[in-house]
Order: sequence, then C-alpha cells, then structure tokens
Amino acid sequence: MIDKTRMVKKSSPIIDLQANPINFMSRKNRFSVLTSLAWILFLTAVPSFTQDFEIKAYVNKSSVRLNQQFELNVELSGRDVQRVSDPEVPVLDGFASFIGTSNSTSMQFVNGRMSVSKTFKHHFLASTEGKFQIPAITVRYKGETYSTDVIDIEIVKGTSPQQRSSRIPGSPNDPQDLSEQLFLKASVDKRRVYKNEPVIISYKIYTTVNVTNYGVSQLPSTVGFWSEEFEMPQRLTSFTEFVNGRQYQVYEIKKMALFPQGSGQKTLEPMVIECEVQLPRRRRRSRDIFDSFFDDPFSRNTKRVGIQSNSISIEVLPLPEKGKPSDFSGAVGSFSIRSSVDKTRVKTNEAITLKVNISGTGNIKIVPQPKIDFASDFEVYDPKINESIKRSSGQISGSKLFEYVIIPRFPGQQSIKPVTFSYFDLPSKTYRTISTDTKVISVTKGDDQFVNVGIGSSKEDVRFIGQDIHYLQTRIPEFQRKNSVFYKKTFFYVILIFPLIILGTAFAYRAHLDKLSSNVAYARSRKANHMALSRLKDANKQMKANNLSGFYGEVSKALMGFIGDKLNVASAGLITDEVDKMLHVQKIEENTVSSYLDCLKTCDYKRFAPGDSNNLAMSDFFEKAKKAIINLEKEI
Amino acid sequence: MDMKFDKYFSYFMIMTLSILCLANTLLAKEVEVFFVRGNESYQAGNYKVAIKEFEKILNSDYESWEVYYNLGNAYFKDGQTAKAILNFERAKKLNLKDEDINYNLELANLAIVDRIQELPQFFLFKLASTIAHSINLKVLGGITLSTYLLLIFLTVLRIYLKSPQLQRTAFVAIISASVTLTVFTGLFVMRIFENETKVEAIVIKDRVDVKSAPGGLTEVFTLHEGVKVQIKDHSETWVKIRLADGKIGWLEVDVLETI
Repeated sequence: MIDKTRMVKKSSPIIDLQANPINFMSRKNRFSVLTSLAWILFLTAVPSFTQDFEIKAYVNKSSVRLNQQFELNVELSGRDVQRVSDPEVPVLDGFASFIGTSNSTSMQFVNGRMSVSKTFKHHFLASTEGKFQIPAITVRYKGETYSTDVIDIEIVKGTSPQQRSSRIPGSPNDPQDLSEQLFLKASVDKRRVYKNEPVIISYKIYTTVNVTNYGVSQLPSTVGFWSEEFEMPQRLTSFTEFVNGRQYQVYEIKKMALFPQGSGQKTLEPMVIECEVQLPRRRRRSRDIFDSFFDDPFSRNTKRVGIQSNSISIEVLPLPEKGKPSDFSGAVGSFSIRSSVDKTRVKTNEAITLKVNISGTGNIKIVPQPKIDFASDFEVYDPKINESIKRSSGQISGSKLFEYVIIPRFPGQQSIKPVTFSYFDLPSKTYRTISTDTKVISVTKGDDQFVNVGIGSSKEDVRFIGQDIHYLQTRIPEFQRKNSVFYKKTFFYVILIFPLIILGTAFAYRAHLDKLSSNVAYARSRKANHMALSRLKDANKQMKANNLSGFYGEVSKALMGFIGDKLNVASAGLITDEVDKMLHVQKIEENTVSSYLDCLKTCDYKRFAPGDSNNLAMSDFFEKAKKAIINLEKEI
Repeated sequence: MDMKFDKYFSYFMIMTLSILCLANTLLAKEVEVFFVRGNESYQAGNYKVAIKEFEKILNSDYESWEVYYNLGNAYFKDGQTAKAILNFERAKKLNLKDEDINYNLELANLAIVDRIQELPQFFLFKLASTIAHSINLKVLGGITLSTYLLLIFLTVLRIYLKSPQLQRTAFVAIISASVTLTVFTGLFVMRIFENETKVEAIVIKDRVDVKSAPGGLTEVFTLHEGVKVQIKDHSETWVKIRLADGKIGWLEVDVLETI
C-alpha cells in the first residue's frame, strides 16, 4: 500500500497552472541522489563508524479538525539508516484514512561525525471526532527492535465541507479557511446506467485563489470498472463558473469513461490532490516604517493544500434478460459491422483476405471474434486482430478489425455466409443483431492445385470434383527389357573409354611431333632408317647401271649415314676406326659390329680399287649391307 | 581340322543369334498384342481384363512407361488406388516429365487418406534435385556423354591447332565444356546413385499399423493405402520405412510394393 501510493505520487503529473511553476518533486529527487552519492563515498572512507540508532515519531499538530489532513512524521537517524527497512504505516482505522507517504533524507556532520536521518511523512485524513492514540511504530535494526512513543491526537469538529475539499493550512495557526476558495469536484454524466454502459466522470478544480501547481496524491480507485482515460491537454485551460454566488476558476484535470463490469450499487472513492496555492500576504499590524518598507505588495505567501474530491455512487442496472440473443457477448453501445474480401475471383490455393470490421461507440474492447461459418472447402487461419480506440469528444468509440486469411481448396462458386454480431443498443434500450452480406467467391482451378493440399496430417475424405484421369496411351510403345538401364550396358562404357584412348594417342603423337621438332638427335635417329633406305635404293640404281664405284659409294654413304644419324654425329669425316670405337661404346654385340665394319671396309676397298664388275657379287654385297643395317638398327 | 571347327562354330553362333533375334521380335510382337488388347478392354470398360493384359507384358519381362501408365489407369478405374499410384510412380520413374502421368498421379494421390507434409530441404539440395529431376535420365545421360565427347574433341583439336588465336578460342571452349560437363556429371551421378540406392514403395493394404521395431508391439503410427514410403533397411520379413515428413517405423514387407 505504501509503495503503491508513493509510486503514484512520483508518477503523477505536475502540471503548471501558472507561468511560474515550482517543481518541488524533482528538486527533492536531485537532493536524494546527491545524498546517496555522498553516503556511498563516506561509507567507503570510514568503514568502522558506529552511531546510535534512533527512531522518533511526531505529528505536525496534536489537534486536527475533522476532514483535515495531518502529517505523521517518522524520523530514523543513525549511520546505517539507509539499510533499515522502511517502517510500516500505522493503521489508524476508526479515525483517519491514509492518503500517502513522502520521504526525505538529510545528512549532518558534527565534530567530524556524520549522522543521517530519514523522515517519512505519512499523510492522513481525519475522519472521526474524538481523542485517539497513534500506536507505536517499530522497526528492527541489527537484531534489536526500536519503537516510537504513542502519540495522542485530538480530532475536533470543524467546518466540514460537503462535497468539498478539506485542507491543510500552511501553518498550524493559520486561521485562513480555504475550503470556500479551493475545492475539487467529481461529477458524472449519469448515475443510473446499464452494465457496460459508459459513465463519464470528470474531476475539476474550483478555485478563487492562484493555484500554481498540483500533484495527484491518490488516484480514484476504479475497481469493478473498465476505465478509459480521456487525453487531457498539456496545458490546462480554465473557464469560470458561479457556485453559490461566487465566481470560480474551473480547471478540468481528469476525465474518464468507466464501464461498470457488474451490476449493483457502486461507489467511486474520492481522488486526493495536493495543490500549491499563492495567497496574498496579510498586512502587518505594526505600521513601522521599516516594516512597511519591507512589506512587498507583490510578495506572495505560497502554501501547499491537500484537497479531496467527493465520492460518487452509481447504480448499475443489469442488462434485461428478455430478448437476449444467444451470441450476445456483452457489447453495449451502438455498433455497425462491415466485411470485405480483397478479391472475388481466385484460383484454388490462392489466399483471400476477409476483413470484418466492427465499429461504433461503446466498450469496443469486449467485442469478441465473430464466429464465421466458412465452407469446409476453405482453409482458414486465425485472424489478425487490430483494435483502435478513440478517446475524444466525451465518448469512447473505436473499431475492431478481424483479418482472416482463407484459402479455397477446390474450384467452384463458394460463398462466405453472413457474419453476425449482437449488442445491446443504448439509444433504443434493446438488443440488436447486425450482420454482413454474403460474399460469393468464384474459384477456378489453379495451376499449382496440389501444392498446399494437406498441411499437417489431417485426414480427410476423398473428394472428386468431377475430374477424370487422363486417357490411355494408345500409340504402341517401344518395349524394353525390364530393369535394363543404359548406364549398365557395355556400349555406355565403350563410349566412355574409347575417346580416352583417342585422346591418349593424340597426346602421344603430339609429344612425338614435339620431340622431332625440338630434338635434332631424336629427329635424326628417327630419320636414320628412312635415309639409309633411300641411299640403298640409290645404290640399287647404280647396281642396275652397272656403275661399280657409284654402287659402293652409295652403300658406304648409307652405312656411314646410318651410323651418323643414329648417333647424331657428322658422317662426312667418319672413318672406320672411329665407327668401331663408337659402336663399342654403345655396347653393340661383337658380331653385328664386325659384319657392319666388314661391309664398310669392303665398300672402301671396292670403291678405290675397282675390279671386275660382277653383278652377282654386287647384289650379294647389297643384301649383306642391308642385313648389317637391319641388325644394327635392332640393337642400337 | 581347326579351320573346320571354327567354321562350324561360327555357323552355330549365327544360327543361335538369329534364333534369339527372331524370338525377341516374336516376343515383342506378342507383347504388342497384349498392349493393344489391354487398351481395347479398357475402352470397353473391362478394367479387370485390361489389368490382366497389361500385367502379361510385365510378366514377359518387358516394360515401357506407357504400359505402367495404362495399367495405372486401369487400376484407378477399377478402384484400386494404391496399385494405380504404384504404377503411375513406376511410369514416372521411366518418364519424369510426362503431363499425363503427373496429372493422374496427383489425382490418384488425392484419394490417399494420409496427408504427409514433406520436410523442408536445404535450398541448394532442393535446387539441385529439382534440376536433376527436370530431365529424364536418358536425356541427362545423353547430354553428359555428348558434352564429354565434345570436350575430348576440343582437347584433341587444341593439341593440333597451330595458330595461337585458334588455340585460345579452343581453350575457352574447353573450359566451358569442362564446367558444363562437371555440372551434368554431378546431376547424372546423383540420379544414378538415387536410382540405385533409393528404394521407394507404396502401401497396398487398406490400413497398416507401423511398429517401432521389427515384430514389435508398439504402434508408432498408422498408414493407409497409397502412401509412398522410402525403404531404409530390412530385417527378415520386416522393412524399416521412412515417410516424407521424417517419421520412421517398421512394416511387414508384404503390405508394401516397391516402385
């Protein structure tokens, strides 16, 4: 209860009424922040510092008038005050009602010692005449219980304003009575309402004095009502009103619409506010020249006054049972319903948005989700609900929008049946049921007909939509052996491997060509056979022409050239001995070498010592030389 | 002597081959007759006879997607939805992109009681799968092989080309052919792998209880005829199945027929 009230107090708006606002709340906050900071610094600096703990309680006046506020101060002092849990607010049932609490903290250094005191100011409103006692307040500190003295208080009969404010005078001996000059009035537009019919309640400050600031000490409790607060302008505007022949400035500070939730007699508890008023200073009695010199006619006396509004009772009637529709859900006011679809021609499985809008004045928040009878061919998702409430021009109105996404599953003319909504119509005091019109949607077969079918694993019956399967294949097909897959057949692998062989060959041949063009020795060696053969051919020609020396010359050239080509040496200057050496280096078989050398020697001999031109000997030798070349070729 | 034997052997071989060929064509002819008769029976409304005729083709170890499709139609008209789905699925395996097959399969699937939502797949796999399944396996194989041959040809060309400019052109062509080949080979191998390893089956009994273990007593869920399941494992007469939504259980093998 304490915390709640304190919170209310802190969060209550401080609205400046005049051009000179005094923001006392925030100053206090700043102070307490500074205090805490200093406190923390101090704690860290002097950790072992002891001081007695003390608790005191006192009232700001021992004699209070009825319906006046009084303060009960509870002061805690000591080093560790910040760690002491807040004392409980005494229950003064029977003579005073609790309004709220404020607290303050102060620090003092005396002879290098610090003392902290924390004061809780509990505000009470005296409600019964007589002499009473405020019970002792106890707190626990370091395992010990500390308690205050019992305080006597007298509540005397005073001017108790009816439906008016009570007040706290600025000082105890202030004779000025402000009750006629400043009061808070709560008013309602009607006192007999149906359940859920809104009651507009407004709180107005009536004043003849200058109010500079106010803060709400206690909000009216609205238990049993659903309340919607109207927005008030940031800067209050005033108007004048005559009450009992007196002219008042009137400020409307709060306006609410209350929807009673149950029937019966309901009482709205009063609202309590604290005002800061400026009173003109009274003239001093002494006409002392200095006094009158200091008597500033413009200086004003600022006072803080707590005022309380009247409480209001309302009679709530139950709604008539007669003619209550079965789907009535409690909506009272006047409403209208509208529905729309975003398209009326769709393909199957295409989403449609159905919007149902219920709008009007009344308790729009209570409007339930309408029951819509969708054809079973629709797939319906939970609606998206949008609520907008307007709080202006003295009534609560608004609209609630339900957005359904529906998906038609099957083609055809589909209809969405009317959506109905029942409410209690206030102007005519009867129940009414309103409905939308039927929506017809023509659904054609979509391309992706089966995409969305079967979300989840819901089971459903077979539905054929007058569709038949496609007809047979009538052309005689090419039959194939069962399970004959082409990638398992030989030809597939032949196709795969054969190109690889071609590729390999191509690469090899290319490499050979490259070697020929870049390696002379390789090229000569490769050409040796060919050269030798062509020379032997020439020799054969010479033989046929019976040219003895020409024949032996050509054979010699063939033999020498072959060696030269094979071993990549110049054949022009070769002599037989060198050939012998070179062939030995190549590790050629002795027989081959000797027959080869033999041929060479014979050539040399026959060339330079021409004898008889025996054709038979020539052809014999030709064969011999050929054989020698072939033999050598095999080994080299 | 050897020469003579060779001669006889080759005669024998030729004879055997021609007999085989003849038998083959004769059989194929017979199969064609079954097909025509099946179609005629279907047209006359004798769906049961049509089913028998089409089944004869399959029993003589021949197949074609048209046979499976027509058989599926006959089963569908005869009211045997599960068998119809099975045969449409088989037809689809041989010819992925045929409109008639897909339409009839979808229509037949409407009659399935169980609605199974497929598990979402990682989008890249899904994309690859969609691309791979947008082409028939034969066409995919054809494209892959042609790209392969083209690549070989281009490579050989590149080896023997003399002009540097032509060589460069050939090189670019080789790179693009390689990329294409990689993609298609990937898809092709994926399809072959799927063909060889993914065994799917259709529930052919009206209602089956799927168990938690082979021969087990605990029912995991219930399936109705026509549902496609994937066979993951088997143990004696029981097979482990997996639904498209990821549910796993065991069924007796005789309530299923593989696609």
